[in-house]
Parts: sequence; C-alpha cells; structure tokens
Amino acid sequence: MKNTVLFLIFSGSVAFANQPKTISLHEVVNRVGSINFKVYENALKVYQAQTQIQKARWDLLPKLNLWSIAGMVIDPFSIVEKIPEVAPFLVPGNWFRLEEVKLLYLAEKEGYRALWGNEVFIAKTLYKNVLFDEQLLHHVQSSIVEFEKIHQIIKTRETFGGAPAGSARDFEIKLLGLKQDEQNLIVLLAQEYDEFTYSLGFSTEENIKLVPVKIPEIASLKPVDPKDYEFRLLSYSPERRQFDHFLSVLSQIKKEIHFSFLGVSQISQGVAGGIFDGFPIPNGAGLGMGSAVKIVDTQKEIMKTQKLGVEETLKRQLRAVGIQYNSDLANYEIFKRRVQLSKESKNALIRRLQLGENISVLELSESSRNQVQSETALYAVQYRVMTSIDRIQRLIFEGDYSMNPPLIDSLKGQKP
Amino acid sequence: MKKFLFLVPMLLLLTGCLSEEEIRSATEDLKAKRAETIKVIEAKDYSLNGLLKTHDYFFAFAEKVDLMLEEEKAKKAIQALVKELGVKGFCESFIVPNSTWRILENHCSGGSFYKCSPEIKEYKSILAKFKEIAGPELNLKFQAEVSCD
Repeated sequence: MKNTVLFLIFSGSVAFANQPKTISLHEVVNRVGSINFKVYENALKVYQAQTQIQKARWDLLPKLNLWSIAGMVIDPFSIVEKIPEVAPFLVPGNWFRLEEVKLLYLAEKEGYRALWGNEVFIAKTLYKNVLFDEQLLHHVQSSIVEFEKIHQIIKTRETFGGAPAGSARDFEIKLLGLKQDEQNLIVLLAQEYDEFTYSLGFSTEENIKLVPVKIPEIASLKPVDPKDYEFRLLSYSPERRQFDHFLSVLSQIKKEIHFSFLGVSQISQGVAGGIFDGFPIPNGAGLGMGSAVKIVDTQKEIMKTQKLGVEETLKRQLRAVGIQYNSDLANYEIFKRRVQLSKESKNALIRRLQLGENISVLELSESSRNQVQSETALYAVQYRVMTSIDRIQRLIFEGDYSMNPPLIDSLKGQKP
Repeated sequence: MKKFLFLVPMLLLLTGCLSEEEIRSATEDLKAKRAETIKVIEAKDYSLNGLLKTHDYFFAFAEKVDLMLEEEKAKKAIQALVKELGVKGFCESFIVPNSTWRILENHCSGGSFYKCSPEIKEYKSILAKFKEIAGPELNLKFQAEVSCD
C-alpha cells in the first residue's frame, strides 16, 4: 500500500515535471531582455561605461602618492611638475576626457539597444518559424493520410484491372516523397526548437510549447510607402546615432590635442573608447600637434563616410522589406484563389476515381501536389507578412522595440 | 616662491577660461543648427533632408544637456553666456521655442506612428531639464521670456 502511494506520488510528480511550459510571443520579448546571454553581457558593458563616468569624475581630484609628497617636502618647487597628480583638475585634458567618457557611455547605450533589438527580432522570427513549420508538418501529415487512402484505391483498382499496371507503384513513389518531407520537417523543427530555446535561456530538460499567433487580416492591411518611414528609420537607428556620438568624441579629442601643452590626460576612455586608442595626443605643444589634429580631422571624415554608408544600407533594407510586404499584400488573393482551385480540382478527381472512372495516376498525383504546394505557399505568405511587419517595427523601433531594453532601466543609479 | 605664487593662479585662470570657451565653441555649432531648424520648420520643409537638419539640432541639444547633467561648471558657463548675451539673446541664439517645436511635432504625430526622432518627441522635457541645470534664478528668467519658452 505504502509502495503504491509512493509510486503514485512519484509518477504524478514526473508527469507534472514534464508538463509543457507555454510561452507566448509577448513573453519572448520580455525574456530576451532578461535571460539572453549576449544581451546580458552587453548590459554589463553599458554599466561599466556608466561607472567609468564616475571614475573619470573622481580622477579629477588629487591622488595620494607618498613618493610625490616626499619629493615636494624635499623640493617644494617640484610641485609644478606634480600638478597632473596633485591637482588633476588643473589639466584641461582631464575635463575633455570626462566629456568623452560621457559621450562614449551614450554610444555604448546605442550599441546595446541595437544588439537587444536584433536579439528580440531573431527570437521572434525563430518563434514564428517554429509555428510555421509545425503548421506545415501538420499539413504534410494530413496530406500523407489522404495520399494513403488514394494509394489504397489505386492498388485495389490495379488488382482488378481497373488501372494500368504499375500505377500503384508510381503513386507510392509520390507518397514516399511526402513521407521524406515529413521526416525532414521533423528534423528541422527539432533544430529550430533547440535554437529557439537556447536563445531564451531554457534548459534542455524544459519542455516548451509555443502559443499560436493570430494571423492578421491580410486582406485588410494597407501597403506601405518606405519614404514615409525614412526619417524615423534614420533618426532612431542606434547604428547611426552611435556615429553621431563618436563624432562628438572626436571634437573633444581635438580639444585635448590643442590644450596638451597643459598636460595629457591619463584617464581611461573606458570600454567603449577602444576605437580611439590609436589617436596620438602629443605631450606638450610641438611640431607634431598639427599632424595630430589632421589625423583627427581625417578620422571625422572617415566616420562621416561610414555614417553615410550606414544610412544607405538602412534605407535599402527598408525598401527591400517594403517591396516584399507590398508584393505579398497585392498577391494574397492570388494565393487564396490558387488554394481554392487546387482543392476543387483534386476533390473532383478523387470523386471521379471513387465512382470508378479511369483517372491517370500522374494527373491525380499532380493535382494533389498542386494542392499541397498552394497551401504551403499560402501559409508562407501569411508568416512572411507577419515577419515583414516585425522587420519594419525593428527598423523604426516601434511596437515591441519601442521600449528600452530592460536592463538599462535598472542601470539608473542601481546595479543590474 | 614668487614664481610659484604667480604660476598657480595663472593655471587656475587658464582652466577656468577653458570651461567657458569649451561651452562657447560647442554652442557656436548649436547656433548654426538652430538657425537651420527654424528655417526648415517655418518653410514646412518636411522632406528627408529638411527633417535631418532639424534632427541635427535636437540631437545635439539633447546630447549637450546630457553632458551638462551633474556638472556645476556647466551651470556657471551658461550663466556667463546669458550675462554676455542677455536672456533674450541667449534663447534666440540657442533655443528653439516650444511654439516652433509644436509645428514640427504636429507633423510628426499625424499618422499611425510617430514619424520623427526621440529627441524631437522629448524636446519639451529636455528643454525643461536644461532650464533646471541653469539654476532656479535663470529658470525664472527663461520662463518669463517668450523666446525661451
């Protein structure tokens, strides 16, 4: 009795543990912000960049160095050469460096926002791909059931001489092709599922079930004009905005060079400052100053050119998704009509076959294949429209992308 | 000793002048962007190029306000500039008044989604933040001046 009770409790808990956990598309967005490894890593870099500002500010205050103090006691006039240590706030370069660190923090935030947006988009696309392939698999499995029924009919007809010899075999080849497609889809689904659950930080033991998404009323959607979105696209683009912050950093570096005769800053530019590491800041006013300024000016031109490149790339991406989206909307009725007609054609042939008519196996399998393909194309266009809408939202940071990545809010005065 | 007593104040003077110079050179650029922005809004030039010009101003303004946060020297430099140009002169050089911004904002908000940049959307609150940084005394003067509103 005791063993029975224990067994019931154990099997109940196992069954409960294997209960699939459901996740919706909305929950995916929230989860990417908090669990995704790349996003979390970048959030920590933003936190580092923010902390760097505080450090740069504190570095403006005098530092305690016993050897310097001893030197000043022995020789009071040596205080002048100790000013960068004793009174760093007197070195203009340190103030400019503080401004650079603040600007680089802003740039790092933009980079984080871009990464977060990309990870959310990837996770949402994977989610929809899994649902699409699940629907496709279900469709293929239904078609296999139907093909098997037709195959039985043809086999029976062939046995009694009602169909040419070899008809059943020829039809079975088509049926086996469908079964191969089924197996390929099962493997693909397993891979997509793994990739999806990994991106959301689920363990391999967890059984996740995706909540179906509501297919939008595609017939009621309006085509888009990419030109309407261009300014929003460019002004919100974190890739472009990063360049604007970097150009401001270069202006500060130029000032550092001009005032280097009053000392060079030793303050680090922080995690985001790596791209400016190679800039020569002369230690004092010398003949090298002019060249150093020219290097900065040239880098400004390089970055402006790169910024133009980014703008063109973004506009092209918007245009490409707009063209695809508008094309899918325009052709949606065609896809629906094709499904309707292919269904009618196949059903008519099956009815004739069941009534004893001599139907060509080739014609029947062709008709069945048309129906499978047309329904697949209709599902594909539905999911493609949803992905296009999501892509446009990602490009202009609208909808799910309009909120700040979660960890940034927790950076306001607190550690994540 | 005399040299020492001479050098330290000179250094202090130089670094003090630099902070004001730094604000001045930063806002010269802002002056030009502001003028372009007013021109674009008054001409209702809502082409991509026109809007990008307005974005240059609003972005630069927001960036400078971000840099000024928690910096006491920024407040002093703004006060020095206002003293030099007067409140009206300062605002007519560097600030886009809310009434002008609203014209652009109406264009941005018309439609199924917001068409413009986050800095344009948040300009009112960014301008309020700037006035706070300038200090309570200047804030009152800004509020009393039409071109600063």
